[in-house]
Amino acid sequence: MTAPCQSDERAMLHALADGELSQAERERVEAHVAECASCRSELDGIDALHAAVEERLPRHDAPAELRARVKSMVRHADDAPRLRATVPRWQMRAWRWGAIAATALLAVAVGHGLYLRARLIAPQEVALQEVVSNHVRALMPGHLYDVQSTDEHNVKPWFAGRLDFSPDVPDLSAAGFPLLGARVDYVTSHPAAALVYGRRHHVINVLSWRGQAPSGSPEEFDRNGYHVVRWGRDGTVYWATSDLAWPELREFVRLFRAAPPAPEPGGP
Amino acid sequence: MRVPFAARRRAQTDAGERSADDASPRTRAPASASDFESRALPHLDAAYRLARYLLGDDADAADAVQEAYLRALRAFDQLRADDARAWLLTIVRHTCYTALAARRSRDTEESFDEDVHSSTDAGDSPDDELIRRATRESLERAVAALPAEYREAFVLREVDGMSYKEIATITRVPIGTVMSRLARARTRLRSALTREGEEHVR
Repeated sequence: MTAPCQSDERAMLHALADGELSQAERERVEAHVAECASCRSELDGIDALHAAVEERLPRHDAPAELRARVKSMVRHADDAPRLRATVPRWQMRAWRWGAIAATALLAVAVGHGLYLRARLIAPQEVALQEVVSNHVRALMPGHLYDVQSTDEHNVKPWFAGRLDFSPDVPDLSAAGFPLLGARVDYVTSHPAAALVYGRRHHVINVLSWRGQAPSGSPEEFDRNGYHVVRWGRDGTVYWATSDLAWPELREFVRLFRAAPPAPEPGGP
Repeated sequence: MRVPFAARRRAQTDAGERSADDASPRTRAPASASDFESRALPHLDAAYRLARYLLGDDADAADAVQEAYLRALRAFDQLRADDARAWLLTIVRHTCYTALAARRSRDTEESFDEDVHSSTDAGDSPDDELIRRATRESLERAVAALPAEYREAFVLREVDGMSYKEIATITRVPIGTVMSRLARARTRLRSALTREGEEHVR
């Protein structure tokens, strides 16, 4: 093997190989290389490596699934301001009509249940869109949770001072769904509890607020590449949103619903 | 021997033109999500590749890229007529290093030190024939074994064909550092691939 060249030009070989030299520099370094066997062999080595890398180093292009998710995220971002602008109006109208209807219905003391159901069905699509928006926003750095805790015994009292209801906070870590944290949010004009569970690299957001939801089996929705499940329990509506595959999200919801309600920590 | 260099110089000019193209200022204002889509989405492969090589894991890379695109989307009005690719990859890289730092605090991995790593460059004398025949697996293994700072410079240069200037912008170091990192990355890779090739032959 030739002894390594001690010339300053040796440091420039990579810049030469990468086409990063000015005309004058290139001529100077090439003149040196023509005279120097060690530098010639170094250049050949850079070339050999480049040839192998170009041909066989995995390129790792973006998976189609990621592309779809990013696309949906970007397109959804355009909707978000519009949704935010329209939802309050929607809700206000619903509230106004709701107040009139409630008065009338209470006055005659009939159809109370019917009214509740009618109010629930109409805003469902709005709620669904907001839940998904909320999930996407929550994924932004620093937005996922206000309190970071893996212990449901910390999270439940944390909610107690911030919400007028007490959501279920089951411990599902044994099943591979550790609790990551919680936050308080505002969704479709409801103060909402947001629980954040993890599954490997995925996040499951569980939003809940006071309201009626059909007590039957959970309803499933697909929106913007995310999977959403809604169910109700004890006068509380729950929405779980994630990019997890359906079987895993269903399993999560099943476990969440099967968990016994935790005892109220010092509550009523 | 001259021909491949000339070819690569050409390739690089093409790459330069490409990035100049998508850096052309859009006249339509204000910046909207569809502007973002047309300027940022074309770089998704480069973004994922950088994240994948920095984090070494498909799922982590996808998460980092998604998070980086969200950050980029929120900060999109900060991007003027500049090179969208470098801007975006800077955010991707930052997101990856945050993830790496979180990992390190758990695993107490050796942190990067330019001097320590450069002092271990001297290896076996490389055998170009073995290097040319290196398998996909050994190439990937050898690249994965590089310190992150060498790895990113190497992948941005060798796979994405970026200029030293662009790599310097993304990795926030002077152009001279980019050159020395590339030199060290290549030296290490050639030693590692020679070593593996020899073991394979034996």
